[in-house]
Amino acid sequence: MSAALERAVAADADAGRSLAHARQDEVQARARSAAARKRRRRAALLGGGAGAGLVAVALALGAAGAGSADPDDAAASPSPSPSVSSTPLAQGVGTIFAEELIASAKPRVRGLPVKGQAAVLCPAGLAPGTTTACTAVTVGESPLLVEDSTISSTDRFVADGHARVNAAILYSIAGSRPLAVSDVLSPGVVVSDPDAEGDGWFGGDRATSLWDGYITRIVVMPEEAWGGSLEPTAYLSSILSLDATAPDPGEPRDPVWAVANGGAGAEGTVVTSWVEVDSLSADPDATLLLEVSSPVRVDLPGLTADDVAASFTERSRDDADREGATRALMCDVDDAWRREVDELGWTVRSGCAAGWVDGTYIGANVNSEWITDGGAGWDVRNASGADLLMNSLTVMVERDAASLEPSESDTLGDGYGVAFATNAWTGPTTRSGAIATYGYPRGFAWEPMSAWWTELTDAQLAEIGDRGAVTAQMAMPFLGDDTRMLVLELPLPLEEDAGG
Amino acid sequence: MGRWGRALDATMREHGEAIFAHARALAGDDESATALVEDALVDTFSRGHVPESPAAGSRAMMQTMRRAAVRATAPPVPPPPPDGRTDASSLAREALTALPRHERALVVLRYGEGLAVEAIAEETGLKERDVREGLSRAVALLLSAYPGIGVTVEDALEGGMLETASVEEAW
Repeated sequence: MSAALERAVAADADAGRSLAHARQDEVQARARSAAARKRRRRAALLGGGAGAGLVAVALALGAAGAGSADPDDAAASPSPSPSVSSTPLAQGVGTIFAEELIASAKPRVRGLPVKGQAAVLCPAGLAPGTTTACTAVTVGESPLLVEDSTISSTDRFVADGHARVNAAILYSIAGSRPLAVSDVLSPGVVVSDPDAEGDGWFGGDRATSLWDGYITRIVVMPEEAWGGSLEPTAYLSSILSLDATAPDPGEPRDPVWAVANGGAGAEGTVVTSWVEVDSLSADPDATLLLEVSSPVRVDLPGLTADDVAASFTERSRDDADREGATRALMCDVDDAWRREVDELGWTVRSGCAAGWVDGTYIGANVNSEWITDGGAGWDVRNASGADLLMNSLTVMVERDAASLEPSESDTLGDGYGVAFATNAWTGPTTRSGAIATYGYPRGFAWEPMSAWWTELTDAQLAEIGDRGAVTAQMAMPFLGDDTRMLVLELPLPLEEDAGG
Repeated sequence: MGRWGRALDATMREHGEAIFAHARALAGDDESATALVEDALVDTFSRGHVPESPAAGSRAMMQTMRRAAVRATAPPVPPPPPDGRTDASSLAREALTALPRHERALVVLRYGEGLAVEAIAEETGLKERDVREGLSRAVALLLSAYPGIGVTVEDALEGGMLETASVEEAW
């Protein structure tokens, strides 16, 4: 032990306390902005991963359905050959445009390691969504795009012969120079055997391999460059939500079905996406796309309404709590409802069948630690032990829970919840359910133990009084059945010491 | 700003001084320490899970900073010219200032917090072998800069606490 060394460390710590007085405010302000940006992007990824859907891909290669790449097409629209540059990117200044990268391009060959950034050179002028054959190249001497694997995620759900895979992938700009790309990568293609010779099977958003020979890649053209650029460390994201059904005997292996079912069948699978690099020229000879492939990280499968609703039994308004069971609503939905949700973002569906489902899926506890101006707050958490495929989590206030008088719903406060003058019961065994989609009607994954925080103001609590109730309602979609929604209900404790 | 924003503010209001103190010790200069705090704030409060209390926020930030500090590859900031003082504390501080960032952070965890090799490995996510090698290099560098600093490789590798739970209180 060295007393001198301990004193030296303590002296530096003292210098840090002085530093706090000088810089804490500015650091805190910058960090808040950066964290807010990151959270917004993450929220968009989580939600968008389920709901954004895919750009319709026009299959230019082969027949409808499972198309096959035709080498003659590639030969008919040859991409420019890469040339060799003697100027390293790192020595340049300003924004990196396509011309500079193309000048540094080297051929990329199937089976050989990639040195630099993977890219493709494609014929100019193709519309977004077009499938085409492009020349595989590498540009620069190191990757220009680096995945943030702490945020990228893959969720999978399987139920009754149907499956859904949601992937949210995040890359950031590496290096020290701005890059002339947009912040949206193409939705991506799920590729089960990325280094193999292509077998000719291409499903638009899924394939065995994207290689067509040794130096040609099958590519789905991304959105056109937007004319701007991204600074170093800025993020680009790719989101996709893919459905699959159990393949019949003799059908081609479906990489999405394999990922959804996990195990050895999903090993080695990647999601490949592209982003166009803008050109200085208004009429470039070729389009340069940067290519990224993110390994699919398969976690445990999540639960959907199909799983949870299997034990649904009727509930009446007089039912007492049931140990080990969760209150639920089964709501019919139709195209008119979907149009309403598209327009408003959320609805209150009345006349849903009230019921019980076996098991505990959500929990809640009072958490008012961050509330400094009165009111109450709750953490509502996913207590199922698995991802839950959900549409929304809404707080519902019933100001007179025992009343037999029905009442219309009203928006609560600034719109994050629903309030009833009496309660949500519409009959002895029917209730209203609040269903929002946050713009993503296909739902998104709620991670195990992660919590949503909700709060009510003092005035709202006063309206509840001792006759009211507060309930969290979580809406869940079914796979392969878009005529129903399941809503789980959880009464929120109004006392500080009431756990959930 | 929501719950996470309140959590961030409360954490810094209650523990900001201690967080900066720890960052400055780990990093060795004001600029690196500031960057360490800022990155840890963004990392801690941009995640889906928000720390349950200011103390939990502080703990999460401390660990994030330690993990980042032991992975820093930047060379040390050139030390200021010697101030002519020859007392043991001044000489020890000069020797500490000359350490590369990785080795410095390990020394701070070992002698500033009193952690054993195993606890440092657990806290930082490094392998024990890498912690031992880093501390051995750090001791050699400290002794070459100030032979009277009073550290030995044996003490660096064998001493210290195995638990990290009470460490935050020291800051």
